[in-house]
Amino acid sequence: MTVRMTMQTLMVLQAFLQDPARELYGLELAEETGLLPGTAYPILLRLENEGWVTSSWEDINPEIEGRPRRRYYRMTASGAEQASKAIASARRPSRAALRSLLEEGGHA
Amino acid sequence: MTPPILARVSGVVGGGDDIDFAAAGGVTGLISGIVGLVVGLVGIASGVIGIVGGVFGVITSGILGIVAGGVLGVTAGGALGASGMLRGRSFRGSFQASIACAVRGDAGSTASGVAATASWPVMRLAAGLMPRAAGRRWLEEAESFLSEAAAEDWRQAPHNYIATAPQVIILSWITVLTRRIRLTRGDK
Repeated sequence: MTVRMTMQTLMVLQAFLQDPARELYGLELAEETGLLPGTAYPILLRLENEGWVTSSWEDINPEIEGRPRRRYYRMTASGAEQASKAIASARRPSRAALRSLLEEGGHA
Repeated sequence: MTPPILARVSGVVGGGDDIDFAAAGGVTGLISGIVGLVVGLVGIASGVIGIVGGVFGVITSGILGIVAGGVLGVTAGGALGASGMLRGRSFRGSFQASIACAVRGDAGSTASGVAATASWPVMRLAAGLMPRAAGRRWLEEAESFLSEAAAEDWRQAPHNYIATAPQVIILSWITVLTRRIRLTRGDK
């Protein structure tokens, strides 16, 4: 399986890349990306399957804290590297777009 | 007395060179035989097409029936479960409790709280279709998110979880199967 680079995936990767060492949980990720958690979840699952992120449950007692434990996600070193490449290539304009721009310039 | 037309057909009246009844009958029989054969072949062909169409029809309508039944079942189950929970019969788990508290505490978000509560049985059903560990994790994460999310997220978030559940079901089964295949092959 390869990571499908959708706009949402890029948004999730961007959120992680702001500080690759930082751990994010569902709500934080939703706030940073603007994605709903149900949308972010399969993306995180794919990234985790590919080894780009790792995840673990928060070590708390839910009864004492008064809330369920969070699942924290963190980017791996190889994940950060691959994510940077993916974002850079997404930002790079495609050949077709460049060609059409050149053609437009030629006609002008 | 025999009528002339009958006499002609039966060969009672007229000589040998009047009409060759045997040849005419033979040609007529041959033509009608060919026509019958063609009609029969067309009939067989249409029968085969009908059978094939029938089989496809049965399969298609069966699949459609299963899908429609499943969707209706899930919806009806969700609605029944929700109505049961709204009557306070089966409030279980911290998520439902937190939703209930929020519904009581924030009059403005009552509708969204109810929507979230109504979605919970459907989410549980969807989690049941995932591998056990994956389903538990998905539900726990949803519960964790919803317990901390703002009231305005309650309407959208559970619906969003349900909308993307088929994707998670497929993805989690692929993950489990891939892992098993790797293990049987002795890969890492």
